[in-house]
Amino acid sequence: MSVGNIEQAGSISTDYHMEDALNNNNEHLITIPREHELKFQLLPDQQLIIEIVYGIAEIFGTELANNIKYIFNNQDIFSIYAVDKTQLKWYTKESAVEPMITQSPNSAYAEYKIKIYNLHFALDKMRFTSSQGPNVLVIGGKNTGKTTLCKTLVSYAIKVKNFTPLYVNLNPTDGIFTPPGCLSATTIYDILDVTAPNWGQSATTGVTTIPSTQPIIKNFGLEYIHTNYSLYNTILSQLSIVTNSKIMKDPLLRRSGCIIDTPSLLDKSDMGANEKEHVNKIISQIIKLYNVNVIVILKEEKDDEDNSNNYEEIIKQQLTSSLSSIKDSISLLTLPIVKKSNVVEIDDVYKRFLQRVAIRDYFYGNSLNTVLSPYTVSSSFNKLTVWEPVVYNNDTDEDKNEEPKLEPVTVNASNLQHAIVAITFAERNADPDTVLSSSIMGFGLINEVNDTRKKLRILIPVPGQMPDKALILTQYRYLE
Amino acid sequence: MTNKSENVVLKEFSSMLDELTFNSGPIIASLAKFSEEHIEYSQQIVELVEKKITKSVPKQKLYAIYVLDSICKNVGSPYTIYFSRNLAKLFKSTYLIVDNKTRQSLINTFKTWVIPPNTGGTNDPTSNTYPLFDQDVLKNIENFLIRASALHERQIKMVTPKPTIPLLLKEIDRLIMICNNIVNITANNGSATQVEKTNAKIILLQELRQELLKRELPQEALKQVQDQLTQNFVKEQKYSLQLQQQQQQQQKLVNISPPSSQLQQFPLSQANKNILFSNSSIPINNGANINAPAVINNTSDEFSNNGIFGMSQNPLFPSTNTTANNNISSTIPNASKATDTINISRTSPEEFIHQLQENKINNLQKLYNSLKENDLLYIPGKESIVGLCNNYLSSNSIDSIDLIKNLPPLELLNNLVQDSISIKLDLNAFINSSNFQLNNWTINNTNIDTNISIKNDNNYVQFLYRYKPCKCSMCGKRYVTKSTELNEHLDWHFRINKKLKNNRNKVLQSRNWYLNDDEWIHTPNSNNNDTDAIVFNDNSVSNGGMNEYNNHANVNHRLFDKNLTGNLSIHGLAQENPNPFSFTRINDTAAAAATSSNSDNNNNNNSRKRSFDHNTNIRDNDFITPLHNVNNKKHRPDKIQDINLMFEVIPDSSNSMEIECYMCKDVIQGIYNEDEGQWVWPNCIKTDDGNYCHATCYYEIQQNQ
Ligand SMILES: [Zn+2]
Ligand SMILES: [Zn+2]
Repeated sequence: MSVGNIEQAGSISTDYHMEDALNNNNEHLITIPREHELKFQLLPDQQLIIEIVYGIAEIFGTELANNIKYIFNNQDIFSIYAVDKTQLKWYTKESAVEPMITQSPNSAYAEYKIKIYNLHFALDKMRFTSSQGPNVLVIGGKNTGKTTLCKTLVSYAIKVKNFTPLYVNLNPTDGIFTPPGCLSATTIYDILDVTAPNWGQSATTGVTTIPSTQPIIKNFGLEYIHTNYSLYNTILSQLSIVTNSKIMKDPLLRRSGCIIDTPSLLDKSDMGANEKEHVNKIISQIIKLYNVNVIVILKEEKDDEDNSNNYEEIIKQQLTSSLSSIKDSISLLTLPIVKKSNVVEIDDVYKRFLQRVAIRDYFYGNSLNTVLSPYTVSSSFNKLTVWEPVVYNNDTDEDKNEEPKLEPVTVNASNLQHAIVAITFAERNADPDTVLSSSIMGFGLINEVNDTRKKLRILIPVPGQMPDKALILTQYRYLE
Repeated sequence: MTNKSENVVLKEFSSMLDELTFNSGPIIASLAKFSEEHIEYSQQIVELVEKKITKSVPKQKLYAIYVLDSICKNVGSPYTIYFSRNLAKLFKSTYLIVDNKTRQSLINTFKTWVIPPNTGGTNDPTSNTYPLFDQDVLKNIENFLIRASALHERQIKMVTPKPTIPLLLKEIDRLIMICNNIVNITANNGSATQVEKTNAKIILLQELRQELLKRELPQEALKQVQDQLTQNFVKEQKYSLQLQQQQQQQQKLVNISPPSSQLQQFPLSQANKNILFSNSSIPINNGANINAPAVINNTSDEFSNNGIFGMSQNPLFPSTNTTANNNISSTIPNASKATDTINISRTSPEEFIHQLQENKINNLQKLYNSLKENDLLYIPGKESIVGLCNNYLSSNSIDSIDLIKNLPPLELLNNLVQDSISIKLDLNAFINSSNFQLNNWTINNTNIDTNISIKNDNNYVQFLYRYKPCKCSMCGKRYVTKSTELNEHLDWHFRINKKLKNNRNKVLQSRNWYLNDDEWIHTPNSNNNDTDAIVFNDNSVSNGGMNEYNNHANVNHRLFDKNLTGNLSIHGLAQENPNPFSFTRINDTAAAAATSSNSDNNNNNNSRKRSFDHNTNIRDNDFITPLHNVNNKKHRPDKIQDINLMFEVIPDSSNSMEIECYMCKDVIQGIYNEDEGQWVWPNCIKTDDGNYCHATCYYEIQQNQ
């Protein structure tokens, strides 16, 4: 029975989590001076809520709405950059521990930021004035902020006009829109989810507060590129075939260009000549296959000491040798970075965290406003065909001319327990080459393997039957 | 229905109504129930409730409105029809005499008449009868409320000064003055009752004044006094405003005439004297001393119009003249004399006018000084606009901190400045500028300068953010114009939030399978027509045909923006249905598609999908423009979650795991249901004639019938 006075209809704050968090708030107010950056580093299991009071603030290129609560989940690291003087409120659920907040020194950071702006304007200018937009290769060592730069550049690209840049992720250890272990390409046509370490959601059956994306995925499956360079080379060229077909079909995509994120290829400490040769080949391969016309090298100032570990040297050398025919069409830029101020320092713990987030997110959503229900199916061993990439353990194992191979995997607990498997589009009985060149339909998480009953249970994202497809075992494991 | 006589029934109802002296849910509920049981007397009951609303003391009116509300929500027609007749009048008159808190309650109640209270609840039995009343009536009330709240805001602004005793005293004195004026005028017109009334008010004011002087009053009491003054002297306030306007007009008319003659023009002076002297209870001295400052204070708002001397020409000035204050009186003749010294015969007309003006200024200056000497002039404080202005004009003194204190926040001002700078920059300027050329950085065999130059052009940085000035308040995305695109975008947010809210715990959501190569390549991410419409004028740029380009570009610019709008709506659609390019992979995922909760997303049965979306759209519109959709009472199936959990166990007789939905002809793939320990067809139902079909298809058809 309705008795008069009733709550006001249509209020915005309906999120239960959010109400939770607001109940025991301990609000802090911070003012960030213009062109300064504030870095937040969350502790495990910490939830942080941020609200911009006034000003223009962005997180890696995506502008934040004012007076809206943004919720960040545990252990995340991110920075808020104040385009204009910005005031923000923040609070955590746990009043005892505060997140680490550091303000970057202005001068060095501002200079770096200006360069990014200039780079962006140059790229946008290409988009406006030519039907072939910039295909930007972002390359550099570990922790030089490659992914952050890519994120910023794609975010800026959609700002002034609705360009739709293609984000190509060639770093299999980063799961951007996807679980880790794969190479992927995603058209960016809307703002990114600033609270998601993996940039946002890929398509779901329902609705998401930030429009979801539609990545194309090729599985690499290994953790380290150096454990199978030729496999990596093959996968990246297969991805380029698909992206190039799409770019050819879509003039706006062509005009918008692509931003290519890469792994740090030179990080391995004891690289042999053979391995260096592989890296050179991979770099020139990427440049050729993705029609790269802008190369941005992120480098630490002190990098110069060791020429052998220098991306700039490798690229210059490639441009004068294997790439000499196209070198005139390529702009080469270096972007010196300022360590500890403008780069999110990623240690292995944080990297693992991000990978876990990406996997959990794939199956379960982000638990805030996109809650997904995956589905466990049982299957008997004989109904599954599982392949796995060959792993070469040292430089000389791998014959350069040898084709990368997939090996069949015996289905049993020791091989598959807690493993992430890629479900390919290739039929179950397809030959390994077909399996290798196939795109990925989705991922499964193998939960229980019963060797005696010859049965296992797989978590798959979509309710229904286990697709009758060939599977590729990845090196990623996930314990729920 | 009942054998009780009409009289008895209505008596019972009105005695229940009389009990409603507090906000009692049970009483309201039983009243609603009673009126349902005695629907045959609905007309009389409506009259009783209406009477209750009109006759109750203001505090209790709200409860009677709640009775109305409850009856209409729970019983509905014919009560809604009968109440509609007087609703607007009742609501408005109630609103006008209740306090602010009650007003808010009234507004809240009104909102529920337009929009169902539980927007999410599909099992709310009332949600299909909204809006509750005739839409014209609601529109009428809505318009009234909009105006009322605007008025209210203005009133609040006007009353903002914190009530202090001196301030209130001034206010009272001012009102006494005005009342006196009114008495004068009405006395001449011969309206005796009016004079009486106003005189009574004057006495009241004087008593109030005494009270205020006698003892310290708490802040709340002062506030009350202030409210009382504003409420009970509405007429007088209006009158004073009128006076001021007249004053200004007169001032214009008599621009050249000497101040003394201007003073004569006040009709009040003479009459005023009479009143003041005849009414012995007025403490003359006191009143006079405070009168002048109060009114001068009042007119100082018009400072900009009148100039500094204009302040002395306020309606109260004559009254100071009549207060038998010798100091003042003596200054006036002096001032008047000054005008006589102008020798008309010896001067040209121009000179004469000039002299006249000068004299006038002199006279006013003298007047001003003497007023000041006698403490009869209100000098605006440092914090006032006048004070600030003087400060600012007179010097660049460091007092400017005070000045800054009273300006809008620096951030806001800065934002405005940046916005206005960015408006000047346009896209063409950016495209045509010689900056940001990548080829400056192109590799050169020998000498490589690959460092990105530092060109800190903050205007361009601002341009990146402010090119689109309208920022979405929900997600921060920016738009060029406020009107169309942003509204569509906000509508989209609204729909999505609503869906999210509705779907929570009701509809299972899961990740889609990724697209395969072909699907991905052919999936448009945005409206491809866009590209055609963006007439990127490559040639003219490289040709350096700047002028021509600019002309074209302006047109293109607009074209582009228009297209953005088009794209957006498509974009918006895509959001509702995140997989708009529904490629159904029947072979591998039909089962998945069938079980997936929002099967309309995954299924390529377009007609079905459309009809689903159609429904939602109607509902959405209901909320956005509630007043225009009275007849759209479409309903979604209540139990989406139940439908999705439906399945049919695959009979042993079936030799296939697959079956065709006899409605949409899609394949339903059998899956293993762990809870049942059986193989089942998910989202499936067996019809009476032994056919199998999707549960969703089945209920969809049912709904449409
Ligand atoms: Zn928005
Ligand atoms: Zn069907």
